[in-house]
Amino acid sequence: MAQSNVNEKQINSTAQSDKEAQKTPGKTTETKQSTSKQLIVVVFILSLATKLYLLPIYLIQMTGRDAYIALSIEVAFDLIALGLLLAAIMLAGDKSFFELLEEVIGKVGAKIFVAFVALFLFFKLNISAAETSTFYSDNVFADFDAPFMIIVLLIFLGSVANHTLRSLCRINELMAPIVALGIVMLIAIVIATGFDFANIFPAMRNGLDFRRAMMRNAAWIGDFTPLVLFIGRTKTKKHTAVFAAASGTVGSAVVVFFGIVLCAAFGNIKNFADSCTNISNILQFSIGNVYGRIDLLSSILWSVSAFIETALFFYATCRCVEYVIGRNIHFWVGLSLCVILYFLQVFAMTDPTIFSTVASCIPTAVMTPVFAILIPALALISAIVVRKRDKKQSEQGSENEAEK
Amino acid sequence: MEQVQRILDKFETPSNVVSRELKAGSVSGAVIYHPDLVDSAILRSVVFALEHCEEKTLEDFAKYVLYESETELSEEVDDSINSLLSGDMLLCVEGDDRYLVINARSYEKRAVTEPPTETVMRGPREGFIEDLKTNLSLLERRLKTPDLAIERLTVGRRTKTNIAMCYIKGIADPRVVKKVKKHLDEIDIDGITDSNYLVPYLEENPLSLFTQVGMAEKPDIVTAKMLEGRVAIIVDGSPIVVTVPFVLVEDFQSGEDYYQRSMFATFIRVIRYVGLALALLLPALYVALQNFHYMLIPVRFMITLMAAIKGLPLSPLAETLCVLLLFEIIRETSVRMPRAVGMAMSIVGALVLGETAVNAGIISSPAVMVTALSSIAMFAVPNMIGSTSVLRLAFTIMGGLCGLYGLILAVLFTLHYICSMNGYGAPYLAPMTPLIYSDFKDSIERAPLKDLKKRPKSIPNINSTRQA
Amino acid sequence: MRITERRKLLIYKLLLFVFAFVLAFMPSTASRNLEVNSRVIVEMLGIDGADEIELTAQYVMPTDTPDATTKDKVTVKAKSITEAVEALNTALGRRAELGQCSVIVAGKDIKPDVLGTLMNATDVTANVYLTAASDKASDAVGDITEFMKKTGATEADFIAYSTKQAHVATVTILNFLSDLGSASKTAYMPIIEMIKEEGGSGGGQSGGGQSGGSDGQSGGGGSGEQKKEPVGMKVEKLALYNNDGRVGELESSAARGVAWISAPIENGVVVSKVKYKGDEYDVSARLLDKSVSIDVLPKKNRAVINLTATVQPNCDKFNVLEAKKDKKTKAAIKAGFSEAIKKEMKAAYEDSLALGLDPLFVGQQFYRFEPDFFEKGYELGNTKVVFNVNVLLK
Repeated sequence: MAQSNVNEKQINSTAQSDKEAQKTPGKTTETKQSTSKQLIVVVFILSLATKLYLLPIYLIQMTGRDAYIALSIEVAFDLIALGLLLAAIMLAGDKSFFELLEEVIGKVGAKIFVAFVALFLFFKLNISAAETSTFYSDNVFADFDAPFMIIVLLIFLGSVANHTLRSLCRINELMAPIVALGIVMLIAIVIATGFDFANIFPAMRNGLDFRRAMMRNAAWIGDFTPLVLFIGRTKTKKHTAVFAAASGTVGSAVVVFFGIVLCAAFGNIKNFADSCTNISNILQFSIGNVYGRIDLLSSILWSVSAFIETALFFYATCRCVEYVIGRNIHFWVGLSLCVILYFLQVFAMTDPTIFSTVASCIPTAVMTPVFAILIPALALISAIVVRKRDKKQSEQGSENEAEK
Repeated sequence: MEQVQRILDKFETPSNVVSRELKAGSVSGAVIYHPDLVDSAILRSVVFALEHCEEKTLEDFAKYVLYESETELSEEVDDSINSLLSGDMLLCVEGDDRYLVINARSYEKRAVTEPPTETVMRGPREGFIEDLKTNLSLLERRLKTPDLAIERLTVGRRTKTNIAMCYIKGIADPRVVKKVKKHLDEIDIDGITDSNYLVPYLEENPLSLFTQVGMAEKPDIVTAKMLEGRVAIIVDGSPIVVTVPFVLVEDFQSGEDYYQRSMFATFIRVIRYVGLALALLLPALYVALQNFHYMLIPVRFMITLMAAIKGLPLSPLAETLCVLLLFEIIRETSVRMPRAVGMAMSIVGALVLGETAVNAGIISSPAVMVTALSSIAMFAVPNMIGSTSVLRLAFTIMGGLCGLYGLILAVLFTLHYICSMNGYGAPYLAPMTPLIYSDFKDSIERAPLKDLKKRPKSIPNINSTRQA
Repeated sequence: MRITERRKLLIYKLLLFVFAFVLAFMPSTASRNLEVNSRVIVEMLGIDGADEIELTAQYVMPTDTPDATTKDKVTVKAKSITEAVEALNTALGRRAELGQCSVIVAGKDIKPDVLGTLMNATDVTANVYLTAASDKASDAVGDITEFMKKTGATEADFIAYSTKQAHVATVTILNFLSDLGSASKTAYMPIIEMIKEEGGSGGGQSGGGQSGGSDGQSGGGGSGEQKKEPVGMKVEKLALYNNDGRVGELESSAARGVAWISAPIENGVVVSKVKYKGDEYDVSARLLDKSVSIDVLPKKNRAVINLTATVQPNCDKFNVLEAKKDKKTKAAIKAGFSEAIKKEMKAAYEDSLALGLDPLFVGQQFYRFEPDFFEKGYELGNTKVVFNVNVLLK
């Protein structure tokens, strides 16, 4: 038989019907949905999508030039979570996150835990959506009609809920070069304009003040949590985890780099840092002559990653909700979440006061890091336990067969 | 004869069919034929041969007398009538209820010429015509291999259209072949007059704006596609051959690419991609920047733009939509227009509507320029004109109402939808996503032919080696 | 609840219709207030005043004449900068597009915090260039407008030349505020001065054939007064600021000294005097590259400013001196350039020290790398500053 190509499973994988899937909650029509390359790209996008918007500004406002230290620690925290998730993905085999939890803590326990995961993901979704709206309203538009524009975003999110992880991974893979291009252009502009990076010194003159800033801006931790949906659904290879970790590190390094740029710009004048003077604004590579605002164009290209990250959060939330309720009704769950998201965004999150209160309140500061580590940790522990159990069972099975 | 009467009774107007009794060998018999569909020379030679032989049975006639002709014995009256209506003649003899179907088909068909939609400067200029037999011969001349499988089907309750499903055994994935056959077998329709009738049955998302089947009018292109693992469906009465599976990059490939230097072909392909991007996004960007994002426009250009659009009665969005719709109307009418008045109407469209409207201050020259550039760029990928026309309208509306925010989301929505399409196991956007490096040699790039050693992985196949 | 394909399609169509309806009839989308023609492009702003803000805007608009634009200025007054921007919109009759503003001219009496408010509270971006007027910004903006109408140049051309070709220390609004907030608490702005000559009798006819429409100065008194018309611009001096406002000015030589050290400019002309065989020659060269570092030595209470400049001599005098062939002459020329540069740097340091300011940011450097010493032992004027200049000829 001649060698067949990589897509041989795809014809069969689409054959499983929705009716069959609905009877078995936790199982979906989606089998292996993501390739190794797509996982690597998703990690890259998640590492830098929303951390470049408001987080550095909020940190600078609180702690001045040491903001990059707080940012680095937050990023390192997320990288630890990423490591745990990648290990879970590599060890889980064909079992999804929900199946692993069921086998370890039982069905009821799994549903309760996944409900909390869904709440956490929904919270992150709101932060991400509000940040994107803020970026566009403060930098790109003179008048931004939030109640109307959010509808447009929700239409995109609704369509994401109705399709599979595969299409989300594919669009991620497709748009990643554009995002990377935007980032590269921004970095080139930084280098071309000759930034004075020495302005980040001296470090830690305010003692450990950056810890407070970090704790009060913990809402941005946990960006890799949607990767739980990739457990059991990724065609992993030998070095997938290594490359994915490297990709996350590169993305995080970009975040820290731009954090340093902003710290260097506002280190002396932290009171002047606000959402209008973020990374795009300070790199105006234009004097209105020939080029136009290349910096803003680059930022808009990069903002595509924020939309995709929002879509990933939305998708993950939908799937978790469907698992909790026990039905795979993508359309209705997606629609319901869209409606709730709309009201939260329009009546709460687009107000800067409410947004900063939600993002920096004590419960957020406490719960976000806990969930950001707890979810990946539990995923990894479940994967290890199930793997050992399966190994033991298969060994026993082979022993029994040998005896026979 | 009773056998003759059985046939004639089935017809509403039996006078359409001619029957002639004769002495066939040493028995009495009759020939039945449709005078509009048979070749009179073949008819004469068959009758002459029958009247001057000694055989008695239909088998002997077929074996020893009519050995030059294509013959088949038929026991069913309905099958015999189908053959009669296809241009065959029927021979029946006393004492035998069966019919000998003799191929005497002859009908007017056009010559094999270059298809108007796929003209090339270099390369073969043969194109398919409406005759299935001729089309199959064009294909068989290029694929002289016993692995060429041609499965014939008949579709359409009344038209009984002959269809040939062609693939290369040992290359095409059997599961794809099976699926195509299943789709074709499931068709239960009155009639098929063109290959486009089959398209909704073959596509997984028939309501989609994007085509999911390939179409070609040239045998060299169909041959190349079959060599990559595709299945070709030829329909009698249609010069367009349908191929599945289909991936989007096929629309950016032209037959001529393979008859040009590889670097030039690569350059032209890149131009096509750029052209599509311009066609889709230029009007939307124009409107979005004007309405919302002035800071992205360089000052001098912005001043020029402001001077050009000063005093216009329409908003930028309305103006651009009007010009786009106007263009669509002109394009449609130019296709339908009789040639005699076509030239005059083109002049009216271009000069009167374009220049005069600008001079009258109804629309602005930048809007005309942007639309014209977008429309010309659209023809860089002619197979996607339909979807491009609709999409650019949608993007323009989104850009005009929601600026770059809405435009980016609209593009993401569209791309996400396209990414979800997966017909016959071939990802629609392959090899861009999922990323298949090896297939890039023949997607954006057109590598030298000697470097194309493997078949594309985007298309399911069971033998990936093309050359050693 | 299972939903059939047909029902799903119906829901999608309904949602699409609702969406289209909302799109078409939302007030913000039906209005034409968003178009580019509802804006006026402001290319330059001038700000005067301490207690009451006087805002002058140079704007450009297309006229009725095809392919022609008008460039003029308008001045408004208000209590705060944000109110002044609103008053500007009212005066222009349209919303002023400040995102395209490339230069802000600061008057003599302006307070620095006004610039901070301008950056944060309006559309003015953080990388707008700042220049200082000798006296009133509104006069400077008027003169620049007149000059640019004559020559057809724009502020963008001026900025482009200054930053790329001349050796002038330009500064953006963000850098200015950051410098003021630094440990040195000093910032600078280049002073823009117009070269004026006596022109024809009165009548400020603006080029481009259109009306003024401003309460500005483009129309002169028509009674036969000799009005001096701007014929050129020069940017030679620097205005120095602390948090209270403008403290003083540095003359040409000292201003160039600041540019050597503090400004990331790698272009311009350097002239040195070279003695050769009893004669003194002015040899000029074009600056190609420079690198500056400030080493702080707290134990010696000293700062060392190291400058390495790569220059390309203009060949005329260089060839006369046969410097390519003679190593000694070459060394003398290098020493001459080095001395010239050092002289400017010293002038910058001493002149600014006299004003109690630190535009060379020596204090800032101490704060960055020796913060303890800075807080306990550093005093402006007590710290010795040494200049090391190394010139490379190309």
